[in-house]
Amino acid sequence: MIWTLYSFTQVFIPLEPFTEQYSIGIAENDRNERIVVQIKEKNGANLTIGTKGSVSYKDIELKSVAVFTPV
Amino acid sequence: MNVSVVATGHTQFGKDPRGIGDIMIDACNQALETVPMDEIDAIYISNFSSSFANQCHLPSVLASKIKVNKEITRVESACASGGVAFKEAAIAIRSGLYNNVLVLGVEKMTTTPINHSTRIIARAASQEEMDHGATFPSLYALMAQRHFFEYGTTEEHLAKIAVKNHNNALNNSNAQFHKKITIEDVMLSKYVATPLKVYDCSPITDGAAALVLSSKEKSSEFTDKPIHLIGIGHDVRGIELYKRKNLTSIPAVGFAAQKAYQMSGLSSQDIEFAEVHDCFTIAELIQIEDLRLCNKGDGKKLIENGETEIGGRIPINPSGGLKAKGHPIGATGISQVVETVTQLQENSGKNQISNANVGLCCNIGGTGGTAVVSIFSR
Repeated sequence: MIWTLYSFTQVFIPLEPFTEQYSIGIAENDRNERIVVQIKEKNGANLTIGTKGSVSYKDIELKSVAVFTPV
Repeated sequence: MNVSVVATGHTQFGKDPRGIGDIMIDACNQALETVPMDEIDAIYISNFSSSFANQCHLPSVLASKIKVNKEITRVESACASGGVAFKEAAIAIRSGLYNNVLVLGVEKMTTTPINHSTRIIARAASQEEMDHGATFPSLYALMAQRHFFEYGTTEEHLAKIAVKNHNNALNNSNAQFHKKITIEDVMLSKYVATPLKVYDCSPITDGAAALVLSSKEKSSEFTDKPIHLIGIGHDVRGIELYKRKNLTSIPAVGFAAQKAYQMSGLSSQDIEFAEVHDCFTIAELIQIEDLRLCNKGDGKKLIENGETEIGGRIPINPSGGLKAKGHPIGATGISQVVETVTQLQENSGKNQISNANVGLCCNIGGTGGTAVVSIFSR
């Protein structure tokens, strides 16, 4: 499924337990469903509202985190 | 409403070496110079998190400090704790249950390490957003990005809000910062969460504010300058920012304002100044629009034209706001009312707004899941 960034921000002061910088975004699919996503620092450059990408899930400290990767 | 503010107290916001008990008793004692403790029927304490001061039983702490037994209630609703405590106290007066109520807001934050503070404050966001690493600056940054995208607002517009509020705080002895800043200072400050920079964010603060509410009939016993609460609205929406239909608006503010305007019989056109919840500069801009002080998307025009400055058409945060006066979370909603009352009593010194008869306070919690809007007149 293709997701589109509705908004995003690069976070310079990470929230524990995260230690590296990351971006946070809100992504929307073609059914207008929205989810909150995290974007790894290496993918944080050149993000814009409207950037399209895929979403995968990974477990961090027993929490499921949606990770957005631009395509 | 038949409810009036008859006395106020306010500590100097900033880094306060005293413990939370001594900070709150300072603000209380200032208010009690006007209304003796014997006349107080009940006390409401606004406080956000026991995690800052490691104290979960503030009502009993206050009872020890004031050495009297009263009905004391702690109220929590994130950054809107003060607004909600104030509303509950007003309802108690309006119902006839009490004649005089002391309302106190307090937070002691600066002794907590910054990483831990960030974590505590983040608990006012949704668990899901926190799990993804969302901090409060980042959540407001998501709103800012979208506002920029939809309405052409810029980082410079937000910088002008920060500069204005720092200018206003220069003449407020209770403010945390007495430091003039420039647009360039803001623009060159470090990013916290793009597009928000250090100078777009309110600080970590210790402080307390207090006031006494009385029925209108009783108010003349204590002061010849009672300030009347003429409308109040409270609204609560879902906590998840990402589920909000529109990120450029805080719906609870609009609905709370609608209730307050209706109760007061006034419209946004009648408001002469406002203290709004500028935890971040973008929050001030969005509230100006949601309070209908201008059309949606036109907040930037008010800022460009200097209309929100003291002397402008609709001064916003003449006290310096959360941005420069400081933001001791539990105290903020009460502090906003104290500052508004001080303006309407014409006691604001160099920051006095000429001939102001009607002022508004907007206190929000979290990303705006909770909002309390109150309107006051002489």
